[in-house]
Amino acid sequence: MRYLMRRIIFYVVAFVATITINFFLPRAMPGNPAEALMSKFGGRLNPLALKSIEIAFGLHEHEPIWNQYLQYLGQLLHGNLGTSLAYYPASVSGLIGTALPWTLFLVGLSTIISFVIGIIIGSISAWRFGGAFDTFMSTFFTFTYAFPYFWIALACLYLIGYLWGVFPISGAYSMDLVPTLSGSFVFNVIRHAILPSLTIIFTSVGYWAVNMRNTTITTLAEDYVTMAEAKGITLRRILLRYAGRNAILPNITGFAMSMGFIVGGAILTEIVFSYPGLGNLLFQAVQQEDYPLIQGILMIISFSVLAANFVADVTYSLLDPRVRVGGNQ
Amino acid sequence: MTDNTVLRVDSLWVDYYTRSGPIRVVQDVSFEIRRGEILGLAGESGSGKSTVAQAVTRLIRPTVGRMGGDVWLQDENIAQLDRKALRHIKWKKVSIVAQSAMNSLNPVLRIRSQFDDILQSHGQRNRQKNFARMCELIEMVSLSAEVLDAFPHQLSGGMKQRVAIAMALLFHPDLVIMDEPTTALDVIVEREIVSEIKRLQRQFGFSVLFISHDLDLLLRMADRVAIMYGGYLMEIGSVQEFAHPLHPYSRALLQSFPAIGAVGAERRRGIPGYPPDPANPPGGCRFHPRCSHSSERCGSDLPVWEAVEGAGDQRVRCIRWREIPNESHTGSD
Amino acid sequence: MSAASPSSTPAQGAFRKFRERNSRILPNIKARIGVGLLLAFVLLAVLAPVISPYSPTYTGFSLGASPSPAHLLGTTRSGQDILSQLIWGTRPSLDVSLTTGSITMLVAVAIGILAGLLEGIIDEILMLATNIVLVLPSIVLVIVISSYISAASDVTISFIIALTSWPWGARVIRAQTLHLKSKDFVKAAIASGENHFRVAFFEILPNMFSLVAANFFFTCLYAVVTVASLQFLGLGNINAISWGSILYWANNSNALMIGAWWWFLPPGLAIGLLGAAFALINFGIDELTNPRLRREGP
Ligand SMILES: Nc1ncnc2c1ncn2[C@@H]1O[C@H](COP(=O)(O)OP(=O)(O)O)[C@@H](O)[C@H]1O
Ligand SMILES: [Mg+2]
Repeated sequence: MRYLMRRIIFYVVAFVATITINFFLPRAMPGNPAEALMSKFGGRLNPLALKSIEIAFGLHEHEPIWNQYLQYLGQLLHGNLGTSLAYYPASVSGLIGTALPWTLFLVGLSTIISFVIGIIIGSISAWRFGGAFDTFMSTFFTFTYAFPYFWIALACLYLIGYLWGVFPISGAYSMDLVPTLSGSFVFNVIRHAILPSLTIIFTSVGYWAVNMRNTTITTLAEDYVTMAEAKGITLRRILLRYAGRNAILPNITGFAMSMGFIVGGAILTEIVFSYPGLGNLLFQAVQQEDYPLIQGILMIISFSVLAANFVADVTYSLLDPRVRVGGNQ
Repeated sequence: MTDNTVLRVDSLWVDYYTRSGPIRVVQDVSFEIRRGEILGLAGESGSGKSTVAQAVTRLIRPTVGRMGGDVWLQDENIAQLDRKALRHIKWKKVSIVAQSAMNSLNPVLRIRSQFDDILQSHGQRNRQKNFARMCELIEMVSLSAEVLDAFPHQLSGGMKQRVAIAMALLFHPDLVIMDEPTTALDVIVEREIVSEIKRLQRQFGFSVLFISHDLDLLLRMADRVAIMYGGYLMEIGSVQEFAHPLHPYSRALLQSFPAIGAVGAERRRGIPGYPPDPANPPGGCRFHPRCSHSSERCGSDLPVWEAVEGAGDQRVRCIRWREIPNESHTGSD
Repeated sequence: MSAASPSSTPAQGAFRKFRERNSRILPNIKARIGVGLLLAFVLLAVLAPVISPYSPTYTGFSLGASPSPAHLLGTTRSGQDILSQLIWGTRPSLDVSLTTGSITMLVAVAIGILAGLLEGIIDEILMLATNIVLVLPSIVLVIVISSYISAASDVTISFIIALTSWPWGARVIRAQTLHLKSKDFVKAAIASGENHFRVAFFEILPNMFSLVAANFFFTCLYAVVTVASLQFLGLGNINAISWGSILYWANNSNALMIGAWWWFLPPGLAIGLLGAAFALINFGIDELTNPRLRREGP
């Protein structure tokens, strides 16, 4: 439990740091982007939007920066992320609220599937170390590792979506459907999610497989695995309870560290497939220079990544008794 | 082979694969262990003791190395068995207490589940019976049954070692191999564990291959002792025979430890020079570059594993062993 | 491994190890293919003026033509030769990835060694910063920062990427520094009162050559992909010819929907191959330094 307390404190610090970066970043940019905005929208800005920009970027030079910061924090505490410029008068939190569930659904599911597949492939590779399967997989993954997400997404979209034409290539559900909890709507949503999630799985599975392979190889050389063999323990038990259980631990830590990468890749995938999640929203915001929205999305994504990290930490502490139960060491 | 022999190793060799090709780290090793006997195996670090232990239990993975020769466990040749047959013999006939018993327990499983894994793998599925057996064993090594519910990291080094010994005795094996079981422990705990082992061995009558770099310890606890150097056995004989060892290396090794009962003034005397590099061993007798009795022939002729006539099963691997006692009497040393 | 002979100093020992390792890099097949690929790209970049069939910016060809003997990869919607663009695009892609790799590596090495060497409060602070940056979603941060800076140059983008991707390297380098610090020759140097910079440069750095190199190539891989992603999104300099900007214009002109595979497949393949070159070198070094990942069997 001491371990989890320490992690919680870390995440609180990290979150405060994120908010602070979020606050200072636009102010530290050369050529205040807010001024560019003012000149772009000029008199067309209404008071609410003006206020939103003001808080995001601190137009009022006479206000001390410390006050601006406190004001910004106060707004955040009320869940107020300002007003969007591009989708005026929609609020930033409202826009994010609509997009977030789609991202959680797509990225969460694909990541879990990819993690599980990768762990299985990696274990088999390690056990057949140097064999045909291992050689093929390591070579194959070296390449999937190296290709940009968005290009795999494009290729997927072109080959499967466009040439073959079996799966829908954009959006989260057909435009003519009204979101309900009916079976046909759910089916429609799943069909739309297939290509983007295939892309995410395809590009990230290699990461888990290669890592799991390497940690398993290291674990297989541990004394307790050799001793398990000496004890005549069945191969299945050795693989699952001795090698697997221990080899997966560093991967869970790795999971936390890779969340940033995963989310980044997922964002690009969303953009290619016009999937209505946070990534796509961010892309729209960037194109239309909707700074309050950009800032809000950055914050929410950072927060989600921290939350995912925390989940990984809790999982880790459940799987490793050295963390869960104190002891002599 | 007589009924009295538990293990007979014949012309055992082991190669490890390295970047520059296979290297031979164990060569022409032959010895026997009798029922109820403790055989001590001594030698400097790197001489191949652990490799012998692993080869005898077929723990050298095919990706790591290869082995040859015969390893007879009673009427079965371990070196020839297939994987399946091997698994059923393992732990029932021969068990190991590893060199690094500190790391030989799975860190994420409770001691109890680790006992259970062994029992279940060998077809013993009755949970109540299994638990009773564990308790019995744990108490036998002077621990309380609570230990069963602990994770390895919650136990001290000595406790872990006791658990490892308890596990090794699970199926009443004929032979228990102990690879430096006390090296990582402090002197007091070492003494406790050694007397524990002796007590259990007397009680159950299993044989022990006790590996240690501490010849002194072996002379105190074993019935017979074998000396290993550079992958070869150099000498084997009873503890009594080792009062006057025949091989120059045995003597040097003996002298590098303080004599039993020696007082502070008697300091350790190391053997000058370095152990051989297995990738590039010296020709002839492996020990000749460091031997104070070496002749020209020692560098070219490989000495055979020669029985010392008239002296039980004492054997020695030295072409000059007959001449040396006289020499050392004249003080040319 | 044989013990260092008594006559060699630790630095000589380290150098010999470095040379030994160096001579082992080439036999390693992964690293060898990686280095070969990388050299091929370097050659392509250097010889671009010679190899390229046309000027990459010339717009006078027929518009949106499919591949033909005259234009092996067809032309863009605005009438440029795609093959020529692809060849010239090698330059900025190589450039920006190597620059980013270097900057990131410098930051990672500086912070990692500093934290490992000094310990105490400075270490704590540096590691806290490292762990925070580590969990930040770096691509998102890079997208946001480059959108704040309109039309960021390649060098700016290199700096932005470096700013968000140094923690991976810093962590392993710190761990390795701590490990080296427990070695006798470093202990001796510290005990003899040598100043920290000397210890870092002469005792520690030479002993983590492979780690630093692996980290460098890993960042290069990350940079190629990230820069291409940014350009694909229309951030950064999309008017200069680069693989990412070719993809941007291809996507902007709906190349996919008109089935112009020759426009968007080749640049992606090029990015992937360059990335794979870096990945292969990185894996190769990893396998050389982690003996357990090496198969030495028959
Ligand atoms: N997995 C391995 N690969 C290559 N060489 C090894 C391996 N294990 C041990 N060796 C080498 O084999 C020799 C004998 O080692 P070992 O049997 O562990 O000696 P001891 O137990 O007597 O200290 C040593 O030179 C050691 O370096
Ligand atoms: Mg040993």
